Amino acid sequence: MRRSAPLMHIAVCALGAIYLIFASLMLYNWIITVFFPTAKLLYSICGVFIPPDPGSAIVLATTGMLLAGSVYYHYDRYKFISCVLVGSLLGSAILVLQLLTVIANAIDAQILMLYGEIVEYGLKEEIMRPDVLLGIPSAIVLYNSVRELRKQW
Amino acid sequence: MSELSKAKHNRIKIALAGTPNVGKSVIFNNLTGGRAWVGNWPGTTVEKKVGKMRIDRQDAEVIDLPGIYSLTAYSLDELIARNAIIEEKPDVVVNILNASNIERSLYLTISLLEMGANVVVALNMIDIARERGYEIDVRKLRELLGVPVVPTIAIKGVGIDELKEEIKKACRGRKTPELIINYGDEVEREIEKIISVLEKDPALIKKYNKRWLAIKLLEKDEDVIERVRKSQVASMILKQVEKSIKTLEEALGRDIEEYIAEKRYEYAFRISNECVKVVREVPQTPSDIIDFAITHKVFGIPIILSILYMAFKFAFDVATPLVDLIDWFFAAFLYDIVKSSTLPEVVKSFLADGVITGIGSILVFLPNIVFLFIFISLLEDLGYMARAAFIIDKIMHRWGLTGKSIIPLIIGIGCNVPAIIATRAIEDENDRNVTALVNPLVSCSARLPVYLVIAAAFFVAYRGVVVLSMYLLGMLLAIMMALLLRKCVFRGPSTGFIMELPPYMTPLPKNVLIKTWERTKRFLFKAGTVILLATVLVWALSVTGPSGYIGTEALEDPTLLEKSWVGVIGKTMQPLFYPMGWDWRAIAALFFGFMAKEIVVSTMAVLYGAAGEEELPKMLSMAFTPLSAYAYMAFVLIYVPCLATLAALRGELGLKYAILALIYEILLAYLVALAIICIGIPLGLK
Amino acid sequence: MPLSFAPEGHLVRVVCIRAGRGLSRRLIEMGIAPGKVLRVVRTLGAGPVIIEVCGDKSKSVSDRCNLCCTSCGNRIVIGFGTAMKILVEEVARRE
Ligand SMILES: Nc1nc2c(ncn2[C@@H]2O[C@H](COP(=O)(O)OP(=O)(O)OP(=O)(O)O)[C@@H](O)[C@H]2O)c(=O)[nH]1
Ligand SMILES: [Mg+2]
Repeated sequence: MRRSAPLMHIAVCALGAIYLIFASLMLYNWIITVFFPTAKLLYSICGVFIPPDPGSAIVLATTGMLLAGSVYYHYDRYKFISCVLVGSLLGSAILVLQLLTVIANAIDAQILMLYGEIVEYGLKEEIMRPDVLLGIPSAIVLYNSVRELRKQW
Repeated sequence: MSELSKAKHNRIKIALAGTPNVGKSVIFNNLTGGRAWVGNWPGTTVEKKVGKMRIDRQDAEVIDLPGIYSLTAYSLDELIARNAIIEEKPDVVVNILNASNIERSLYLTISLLEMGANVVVALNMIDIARERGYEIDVRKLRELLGVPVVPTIAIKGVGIDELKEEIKKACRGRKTPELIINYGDEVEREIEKIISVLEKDPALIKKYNKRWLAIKLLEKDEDVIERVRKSQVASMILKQVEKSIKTLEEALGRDIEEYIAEKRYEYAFRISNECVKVVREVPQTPSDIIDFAITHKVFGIPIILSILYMAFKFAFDVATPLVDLIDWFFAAFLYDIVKSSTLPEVVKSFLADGVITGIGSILVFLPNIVFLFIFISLLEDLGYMARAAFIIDKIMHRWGLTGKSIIPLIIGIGCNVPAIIATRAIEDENDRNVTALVNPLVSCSARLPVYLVIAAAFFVAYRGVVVLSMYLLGMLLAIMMALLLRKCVFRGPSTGFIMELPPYMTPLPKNVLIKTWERTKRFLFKAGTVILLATVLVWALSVTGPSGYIGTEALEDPTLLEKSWVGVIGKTMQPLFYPMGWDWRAIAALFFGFMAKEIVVSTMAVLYGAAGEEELPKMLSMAFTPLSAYAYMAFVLIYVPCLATLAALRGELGLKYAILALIYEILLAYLVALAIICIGIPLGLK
Repeated sequence: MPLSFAPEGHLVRVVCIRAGRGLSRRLIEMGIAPGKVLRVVRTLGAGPVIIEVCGDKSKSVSDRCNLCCTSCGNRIVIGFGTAMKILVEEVARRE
């Protein structure tokens, strides 16, 4: 375990950094849509859609801060694990929530058909979001850190 | 009187006592099959709750009490518990101990035994103790205390049958050996002296244990002093007590009350040292590890915000299909059935435009509300509340509130009424009053429909954010009002708060569901009574006017509607809201919303003749501009607490403060709405 | 030094409690009496603190704080107002 520790640190820190980047992009998009409606949106990069959603941005930023910040406590196992655990927990939680939302929207489309309404909804945009894509590595980190903790009791 | 005949005359009473958060309410539920509120933070129960249990083919009364650390009350909820134990003199006191924190729990046990109560000890949470690496010698504990001790894990039902058995035995009559702590020669001498005076009043010592009385008198317990004052030899007793206190404080060189408490704690410490063995070294529990990040200086607040956002995402986005389903049921299905039926026109209009449209417009949001309740219940059971109190205290203490105030504020997101009652657990009286008074500013679930309807009309893309902004606005105003009230009305420094930090626990699905259901029930009840009545009233007032019956066409024809009573009300009040530029129908809705805030939506639905969640926003988008709609939302958030909240405020703080709340809220609402308009227009927002 | 300013991770001994009757009594009932040794688990810097009660004056406090007595591991949140009223002195540093 000792030897693989630095690797873990780097991986977690990198994931945290990516979270922070996407969080700031989301915020940027939001500011643009609210205050400068004429300016152009950064709609997507590399196929990842960036919704102008400040709420998600907060969650992403918190996750990023926790993951990236955990490296600051690399000298203490417990402190490090604590930050990683909570950070990846948040990351995974928002993933689960987003997936639930996607499912809900799909069902909703069916229900609206009862009215005879046909709604268009972009499945791709709902799924190719940073919270979903980053949530997957987050869940892996969560699994690993829980396993790490389990070893003790 | 023999035990049996006594039971015939008045039921056997069993009280549950213990430190906060040891699982009293869980045990209560186990014993009685009741549904007492269970939550993983100290101060969940703030009221007495009575249930029934069968003992030897008789009904016994079981009382769940708020948590206490000793028989001297420090906050209002503790006073309730203390009085129930001392005044009502239950036949059996089931004292619940926290096995993972025996020393602190034993203090109360010792106080109870000193009093001469008939005690049965339940040693709860042994699973947590084990997790921490402790082993408790139950036999030894039983020996040292001289009362039955039953180890339990309440949430799993372990040990409950044994506990029932012991309670039954205790009910049949058993003399608990009196516990005598040696407080040191000097104190003992004075206790003797006081007892000898007390013995002059046989009535008094028949009612209470005399040694306990003497100790309590030395401890300057005001309540006991009051009681002694009624005796014929009161002056003698009190003179002796005063003399004793003076002698002792001179001899010991310190406060006698604190001295006695310390001695008692030392005794508890000794017992716990003898019974608890550390069998396994556990450096850090999972709770401790998680807490490092949760209570972190930098991460703490972003984590709170994230959790809030997730609560709303869960409540809005995930619940959408259910909302649409209910909407379809009311707006399309039921409405059409009634409209196409062969009933007379008036009845049809009454059912369709009044009842179905009004109630439907509220019930549509039931899924959102239920999902929000689920989330709050989860948070409560996880144990996050106590952490939030810690983090928020850093901000709150500057604003004249304590961290503990955050718990009623969070509960207020569900409903303000239980939240105001929950303030009883706040120790400092000023803090408590302020927290209760600002609580109506916290946006409760009743206001959610208003936001959702308006957000659907104007802010489709940012629904979540706009609604969240209302909640944040409410919290912000609550904090600012608290500061103001603290500076003007409730002056004086706060004594702060102390709260044990419970370990995180996995929420039990059953418990979460029960709590969600109890909260939902309240909402449904309201929909079936107040809201229904109000809707009917609104319908009746819109088809009639000063000129008499107008006819149901009024609901389709705005010019006719203006001549109805509702029109009169709305038009009269309109000049008041001239700067905001709201429609008179919206203003009439505000008028009726005084009873319960959901009524704002149901009234608008009736007045705009909009059946269904889809249609109302469409109508509204014609009557408002986004800016005036936002101001309207803010106004609904703030203006007047609903009737139930006012009643709760009156019950907890008195009529004077209920009126204060009413007045400040109206003024604040007007100012905020005006400010939104005044700031928004120059900014070019419309 | 008030408890509120005690550094995180340190062991401190309660010197005195400068509070009204009710509060100091409550603190004693919870095991926070003059002479007791507390571990400062968390501080927010001139704000609330989380502590563990670690033993009393007669016992020497071991480094393995979590095991030195049975009340260890039971954490208490003390709000700012109260933490300012508890005066402590530093005993030893842990960690
Ligand atoms: N692990 C464990 N948890 C328990 C046990 N008993 C109760 N709990 C949990 O402890 C928490 C507090 O339970 P309550 O019954 O609300 O405690 P209470 O004593 O009524 O608390 P107050 O009303 O605040 O004084 C809940 O989250 C329960 O699920 C137990 O034996 N083991
Ligand atoms: Mg309870």
